[in-house]
Amino acid sequence: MGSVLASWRRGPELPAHARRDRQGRSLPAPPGSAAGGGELPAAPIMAGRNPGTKLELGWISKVHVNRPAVVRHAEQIKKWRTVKGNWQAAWLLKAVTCIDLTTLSGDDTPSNVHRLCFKAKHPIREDLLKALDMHDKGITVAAVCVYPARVIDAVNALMAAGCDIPVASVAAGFPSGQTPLETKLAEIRLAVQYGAREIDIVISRSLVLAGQWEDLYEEIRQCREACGEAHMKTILATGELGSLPNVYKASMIAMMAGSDFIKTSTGKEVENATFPVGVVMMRAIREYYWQTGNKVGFKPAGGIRTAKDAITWLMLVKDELGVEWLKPELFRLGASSLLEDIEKQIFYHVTGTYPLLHDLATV
Amino acid sequence: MAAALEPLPVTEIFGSMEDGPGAGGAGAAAEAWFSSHGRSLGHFVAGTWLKAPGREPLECREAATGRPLVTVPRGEGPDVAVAVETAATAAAKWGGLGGPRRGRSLDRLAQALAAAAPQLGALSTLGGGRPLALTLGSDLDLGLRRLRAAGGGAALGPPGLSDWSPLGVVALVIEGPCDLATLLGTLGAILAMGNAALLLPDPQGALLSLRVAELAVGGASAAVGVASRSWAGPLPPGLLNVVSVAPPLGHALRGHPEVTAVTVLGGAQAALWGSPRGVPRGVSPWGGPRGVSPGGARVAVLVLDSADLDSVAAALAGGLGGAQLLVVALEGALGALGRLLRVRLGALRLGDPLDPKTGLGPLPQPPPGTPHPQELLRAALEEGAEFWGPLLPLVPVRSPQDAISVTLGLGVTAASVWAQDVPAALDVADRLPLGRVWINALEAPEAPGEALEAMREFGRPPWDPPPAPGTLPEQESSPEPETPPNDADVATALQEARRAGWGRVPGPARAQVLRGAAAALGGDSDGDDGDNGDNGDTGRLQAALLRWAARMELMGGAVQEVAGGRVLLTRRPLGVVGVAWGGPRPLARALELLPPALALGNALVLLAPPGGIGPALRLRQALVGAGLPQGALSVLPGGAGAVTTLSRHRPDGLWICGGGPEPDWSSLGGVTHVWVPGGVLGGGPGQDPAPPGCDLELELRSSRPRSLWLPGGGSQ
Repeated sequence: MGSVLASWRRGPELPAHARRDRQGRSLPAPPGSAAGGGELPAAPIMAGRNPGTKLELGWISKVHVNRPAVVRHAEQIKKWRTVKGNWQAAWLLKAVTCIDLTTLSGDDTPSNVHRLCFKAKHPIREDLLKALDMHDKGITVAAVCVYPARVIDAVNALMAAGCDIPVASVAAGFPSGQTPLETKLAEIRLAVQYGAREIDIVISRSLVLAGQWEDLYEEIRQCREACGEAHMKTILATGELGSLPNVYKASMIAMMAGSDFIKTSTGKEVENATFPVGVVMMRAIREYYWQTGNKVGFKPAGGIRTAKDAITWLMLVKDELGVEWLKPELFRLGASSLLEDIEKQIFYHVTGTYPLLHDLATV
Repeated sequence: MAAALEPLPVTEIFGSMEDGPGAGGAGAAAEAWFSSHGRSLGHFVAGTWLKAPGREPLECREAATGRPLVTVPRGEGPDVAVAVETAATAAAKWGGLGGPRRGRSLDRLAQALAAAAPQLGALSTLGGGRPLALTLGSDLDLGLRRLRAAGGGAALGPPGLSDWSPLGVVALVIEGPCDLATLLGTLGAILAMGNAALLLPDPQGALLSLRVAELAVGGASAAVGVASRSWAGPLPPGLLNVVSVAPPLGHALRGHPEVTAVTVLGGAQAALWGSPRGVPRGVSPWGGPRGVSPGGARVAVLVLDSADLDSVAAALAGGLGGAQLLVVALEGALGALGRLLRVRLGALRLGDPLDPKTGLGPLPQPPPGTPHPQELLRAALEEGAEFWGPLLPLVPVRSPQDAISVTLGLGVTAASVWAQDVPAALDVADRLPLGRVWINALEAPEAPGEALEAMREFGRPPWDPPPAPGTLPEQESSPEPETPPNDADVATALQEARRAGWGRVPGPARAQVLRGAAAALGGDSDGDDGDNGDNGDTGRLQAALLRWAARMELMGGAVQEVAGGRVLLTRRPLGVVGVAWGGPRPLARALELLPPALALGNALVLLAPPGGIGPALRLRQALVGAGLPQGALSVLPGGAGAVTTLSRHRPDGLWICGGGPEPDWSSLGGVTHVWVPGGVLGGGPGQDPAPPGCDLELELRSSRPRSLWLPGGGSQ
C-alpha cells in the first residue's frame, strides 16, 4: 500500500495514448513532466497556501453555535447592508472577479465548456467596463470549474484564448463522496495532470455524522497530498452535515488538514449555500487564522443566482472576516447563472435600462 | 442629515470595498414633511392643526447634531383646555363604538403607519438619535405588532376585561424622545380600551407624536369637513390630540377633571407631573422604560460557559445602538469574548444615525445630574471592570451565582442570558427577578399577551366607579391623634422586607403559609355570614387567605408562540410594597389587600392607623406562625405622613389606602407602581363581599408580567 501511495504521490507518468482526449487531441502535459516543456506557472491568483496543522481535537471539543442567533444575524446583514449606485457597481465587479464560473452537468460537452471559458475571460461587456473606467483592470472571473473529464476542454479553451484563468476541477467522488479513498485520490491526481490548478474535493459526510474526526482529517490530508501544487478547496456539503456545530467542526478539521479554501456545497444537495452556514464557516476561518496565522479562503456555492445574493455574501465576508478577505485569493463564489444577473445589473447601472436577450452573451 | 455625498468612482470603490452610504429615502421623507409645513408646526387637535397666536416657538432639534428642524408652539392653558374638551367628546363616542369597530380602526391605523414607515423611522431617529436601522426596523415592527395586538384585543374583548369601561381621557406625558415601540404600544392600549389620548410631548418627542396623530386621521386635510358625518382616516378626529409643552408642565392638568389618568413615557426618570384626580392610574404599564428606550434602558448580558461567543459578540455590536448594555461574563469565557468584541466593535459603523448602515449614533443625552461618562468609566475601572469600544462595560465573574448577584446590583430592566447548556440558562433566568429575560437573544419580539396586559392599565373595572367629587371613602374609625411614622423604623422595615426572600418561595409553598394563617386566626372561617364587627372581619380575612392560597396553587402562566420562538409568560411580585393605611379616613378592610399581595410573593411594610394596628398584628402573628419570614410583613404605626415617608424609601409599589387630602403626588416620582384601591374590596362591614372578578385587579396590582423569551424553531 505504502509503495502504491508513494508512486501516486510522485504522480504517475501517463502513457502517451492516455494523454489524448477522445477526439485525439493532445492533452497538456501534467505539471512537472518533461513532456510538458516546462511547468505551468503556479496559480497566480491564490494566496500563500495553508500548510495545515497536526490534528488538534481540542479546537473542536467545545464548539457552541446558536442557530437562531446566527440566522437572525445573517438576516440583519441581508436586510440593512445594501450598496447603492457606484458602490453597487464596484461590489458587483468585485463579485465577478471572485466567481468560479461553473458547469457541472451530465451533458457538458467541449462546446459549452468552450463558451463558458470565453465568458470567463469576458464576463462583462467591454463597453460597459469602459463606461465605468474598469476596462483595463483585468476583470475576469477567478476560475472555471468543471468535472475532471472536462478539464482538458477547459484548459485548451483558455489556452487558446490566451488567458491565465485557472481551471478548477471537482474531484474525490463529487458530488456524494461515496467512492473509495483510492478512487478519490486517483481522480484528484488525474485532474491535476489534466491541468487543473485548483481541486474542489468533497468530504465523506458519514465521517462527520459519525464523529470520526481523525479519519476525516486523514482523508482530507491525503487528498491535499494528492493535489500536489494544485490548490485545494474542500466541499463540506453542509446541507448534509446535520447541524451547525458539525459544520464548524468539519470546517476546522478541513483547515487543519491543509485545505486552502473551505466550500459550502456541491450544488447538488437539497440545501445549498445558506447565509447562516456561511457565517459559521467564516467564524471557523477566523478562529483558525487566530490560532495559526494562516488565512483560509471561503467559497459559498450552490443556489447563488442573483446579484443581490452575491452582494450579501460579500457583505457577510466583510462583516465576519474583514475587507482583506474580499479578493479572489481568499473568496470565491461558485456559480453558473449568477454572472448573467450581475452583467444585467451592470448594464442597467451604465445604461439605465435592462438588456434585451441579445444584448449580452450567454453561456 | 449630511448633504448627499458625491459618488466615488467605481475604480476607487473597487479597491477599497467601502460600503458607501445607505439609502437616504427616509431622511428625505421627513424633510419633505417639514417643508410641507413651512418648518413650523402647530398643535394637533380635533384632527387639524391648531396654531394659536402669540405662542412662544419651541425648537425641535436633530438629536445627533443639534440642527434646528422645525418649531412647535409652546402649549398654554387654553390650548390644553381645547384639547381636553375635544378628547372628552371624542372619547365618549369612541368608547361607545364597541370593541370590534375599535379593533378595525386600530388595524387601519397600523396599516397607515406601516405605509409611512420610512418617515416615522426618520422622525424617531431625528428626535432621539437612535440609528435608523433600529427605529425603522425593530422599533417600528414591535410598535406595529403591539398596536395590532391591542386592536385584536379590542375586537375580541380582552380576557377578563369584558365589563371594564374606558377611563375617558388619558394624558400621555412624553418626556424627551420616545421610541416607536413604546409610543405605539401605549397608544394602542389606551385606544383599545376606548379612551381618547392627550399627548403632551416636549419638543424632542413632538415630531413623532404629531406625525402619528396626523396619520391617524389620514392627514389633516382629510379630517376637515368630514368630521360631522364620519371620518376618512383610520381614527376619528379628536381621539389623538397633541399639545407640545415645555417643562415644567406643573399643574397644567389640574383644572381638567375629564383627564382621569396620566402616564409618563420616555425619560429615564418617569415622574408624575401632578395628578389631576387623585388616582394616578397608568403609571408606565411596562414597569419602567422598556429595554429599547434611549437613555433609560439598561440590559444585562450574562455570558455563561457554554455560550456561542461569536453570536454574543455579534448581538452586542448590533444592540449597542439601542440600549445601554452591560456584560457580565464568566471568567472562562472572558478572554475569547473580549477578543471577538474588539473585532466586532472595531468594525461598528458610527456616525449619522439616519444612514441605515450606522450601527451606533450619538450617545443619548444623559438625564440631568448623571455623571459624565468619563467619570463613570473611571469609577468602573477602579472596580475592576473592563471597557471595549463605545462604552461597553464587561464585568468578569466567577460563577453563575456571582453573575446573578452582580446583575441584580446593576439596576437593569431586562437581561439576556447566553448558554447552549439549556438547564444552566434556565436556572440563571429563573433566578433573575426581571420583567424580561431573553435566552440566547438580545432583542426579540414580545408576546401579544403583553399588549393585553397593558390594556388593563387603561380600563376601569366595574367595581371601581369614577370618583365623584365630594364623596370620600367610608370611614371606619374616627380620626384620632396620630404619631407620625418613625422614619428610621420604616427604613429598617423596608430593608428587612428586601432581605426576606419571600418572592423566591415557590407559589404552592406560599399558599401553605396562607392556609396555615387562616387556620391560626381561629374562630369561624365561614366568612360571608354577614356579621358585623370583628368576627365578620376575621371571617372575611380568613376567606381571603384561603381564596388566595387556592389561587396560588392553581395559578399558571401562558406560552405564546411568536415568529422565531416562544415566550413563557408568568407573573412576578412587585417586590416590596409599602401600604399606607392611614390618612384621616382609613380604608375599611384594608387588611384584605394583604393576602393577595403576599400570595403573589410581595413583602409588605404596612403603616396602620391606631385602630388598625391590633388586627394587623394579629394577622402578622398568624402568618409568621405559619411560616412567613419575619421581615416579609412589618406593621408600623402610620399617620398623616405615611405616604411621604414610605415613598422616600422607594418601595417597589405603594398602595394608598385612605381617603382625605391628596398626598403630594410629586413626591411619588421614585415609585413605579402607585395604587389607590377603590371599590375592589366591596362595601363596608356587613355589606357586599368583594365583587366577582376583582381578583383580576388585585392580581394586576400585586404583580408584574414576566416574559421569558426562548428563541428556536420557527424561522428558516
